[in-house]
Amino acid sequence: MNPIRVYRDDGPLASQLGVLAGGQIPALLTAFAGAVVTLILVLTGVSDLPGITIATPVVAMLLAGLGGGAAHRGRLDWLIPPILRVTEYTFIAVVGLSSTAPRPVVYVLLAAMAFHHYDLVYRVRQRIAPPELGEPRRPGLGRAHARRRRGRDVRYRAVRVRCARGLPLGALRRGERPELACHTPAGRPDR
Amino acid sequence: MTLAIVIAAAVDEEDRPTAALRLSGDSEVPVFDRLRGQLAALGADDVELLVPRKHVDAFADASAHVVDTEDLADTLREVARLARENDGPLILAAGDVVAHREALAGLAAAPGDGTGALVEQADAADGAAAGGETTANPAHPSVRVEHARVVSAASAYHWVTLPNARFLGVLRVGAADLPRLAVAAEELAELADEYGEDAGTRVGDPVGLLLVGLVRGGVAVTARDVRALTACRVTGEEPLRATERRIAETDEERVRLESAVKRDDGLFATYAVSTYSRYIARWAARRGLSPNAVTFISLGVGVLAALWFSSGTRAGLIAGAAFLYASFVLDCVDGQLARYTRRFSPLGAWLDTIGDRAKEYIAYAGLAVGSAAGGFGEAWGLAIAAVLLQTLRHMIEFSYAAAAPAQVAAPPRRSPRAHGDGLDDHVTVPSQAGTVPRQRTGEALGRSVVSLSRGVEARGRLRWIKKLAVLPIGERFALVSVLAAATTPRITFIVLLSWGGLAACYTLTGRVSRSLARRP
Repeated sequence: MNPIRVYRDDGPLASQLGVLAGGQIPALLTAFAGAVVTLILVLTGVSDLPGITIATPVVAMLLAGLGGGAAHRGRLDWLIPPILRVTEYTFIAVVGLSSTAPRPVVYVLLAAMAFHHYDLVYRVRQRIAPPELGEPRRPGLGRAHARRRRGRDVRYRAVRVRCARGLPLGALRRGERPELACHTPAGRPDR
Repeated sequence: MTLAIVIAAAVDEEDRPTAALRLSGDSEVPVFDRLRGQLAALGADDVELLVPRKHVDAFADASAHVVDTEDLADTLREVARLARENDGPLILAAGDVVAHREALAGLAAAPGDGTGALVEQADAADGAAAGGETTANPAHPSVRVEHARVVSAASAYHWVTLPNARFLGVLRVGAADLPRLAVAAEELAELADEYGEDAGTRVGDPVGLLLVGLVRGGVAVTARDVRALTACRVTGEEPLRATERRIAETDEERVRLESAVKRDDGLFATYAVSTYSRYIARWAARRGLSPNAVTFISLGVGVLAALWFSSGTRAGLIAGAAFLYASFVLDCVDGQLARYTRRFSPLGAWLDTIGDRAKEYIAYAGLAVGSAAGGFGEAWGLAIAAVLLQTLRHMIEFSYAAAAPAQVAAPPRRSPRAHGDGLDDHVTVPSQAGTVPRQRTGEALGRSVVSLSRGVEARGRLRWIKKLAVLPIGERFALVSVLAAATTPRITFIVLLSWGGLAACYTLTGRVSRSLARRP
């Protein structure tokens, strides 16, 4: 799977929307639109807004999920994950800072989100991601391939154990999201 | 399992196999046997020795498993067969390679399951030595290396335009690339049958041909430079003695320690840390510390820095700065220790990078606490902004790197198209040098920025400034340490945010331009 699609970090709902759209909706455009809607809301000041408008960015970002089914091979499609990140972080930071929540708590929340995303990237890079996420399938590799995959599963499990016990922030990660793999269109393997 | 195939095909002027030349010294072991021992010590579970039938007597006392082959085509088919049977990485070496153990280790024990070739790169200073035909060893075919990849390789049948390195006769093929190696070897074998061996005019060098086959077959072949070490294919008695002398003159241990230092690192890491951190790495290696243990110690020191920062007193801020610097030094040490002891693991790499982020963000939290505690004013908002900016900058980096590799590598200035005859036409050339399509406006703009950036790259001092401008991790840690010790946490964050913000704009502009310059 194209790592850029993994780096989007779509949740189950957004992924389903991506499946529904069937890769027909341009990803960069939807991500950009979601970012613009959210940032306008942030600039107008979230504290004075009536209750329900606070959910606008949630809807905007879900709509950005519509583009998640696309191949992400455009020249500027690598901008999508940073756009999604800057939108989500900025919104949560602004909401957190304008609320009565203690600031250290906001800091820890954002750091936990950042760590979740770092973890996602580093695992894909080190190929210790769940096999269905990062691993390109190559033809004609039979036994050797299967063995390597088994080996990787073991290492992956080791990381999970370390996350849970050693690094408290790592434990805040969301699930392993194998759902991303279910709707991968059969394309050439990504390298 | 790892299999090594040593091919002893080359002969000297008197038609004696060069791999069977004997080294000086008491034992007088043959060249190929020394190589076999070195490869076995580097993790090869099995070593196969492929020898032409007419020379098989010279290898009668070989301790390796000897396979005699008819001719070049037969040798290549044997390689293809072994590549198909083996399920681990494969090391292919010419039998006449005399090398430092560490030079071979740089290829054979490199991290990951990639494919690589041992090369000697020409420095800008002595480019003539590798490019010119006068001084170079004729047994070392020319190659062109770009971005640490072999992009084009020569053989007796293939030419390379603008060569900038030489192939030293040792290849490592990752398990994933073995099917492609087998295909390339079989194609080459058929061509060798067709053309015959052209005895007298051309030398069929199987390892060199296989490199050509791999590169032209589109396999990503990493160039592993021997650096200050020696590796040489000996062509006779006299070159063998010269190589032996060169090997004896080099302090292998010192070179090994030096090559543990990451090349192309940031300014601060290169000049204020790596100048001595390698000795800490060596000490840690002697104490038997693992790289992961050093990572954890570094993380611990980072937490101590944050605790000192959080006191908010001047002494606390200074102590915190010292601890933060120490934790960065240890952060360099773990990588150097891993390279020095060749203990690489995906978990270690994951831990190292996650540890870096953890230290940095814990230190920011410490500074924010210290700012309030020391009466410097509220700084949580700034700390949050600093974390967000830094994470965003990293995400741009990751995402851009994950985009198509063609996008990362800038378009070639002059396309190094491989010219050749004979075998050339049959082996697929990756479509690199196509015709130039019409340029769009974005493309033209992108190209001009890319060429400007390349111009900067070419000048030494400007290159450092360019590196400094993007505020890499070493500079960031140094900046935080110095400013926290000398000023207030708020000023530290404000400077960090301004510099980081400019750096983000700078990289983003550059990368968007590069992407636009890419042909769609």
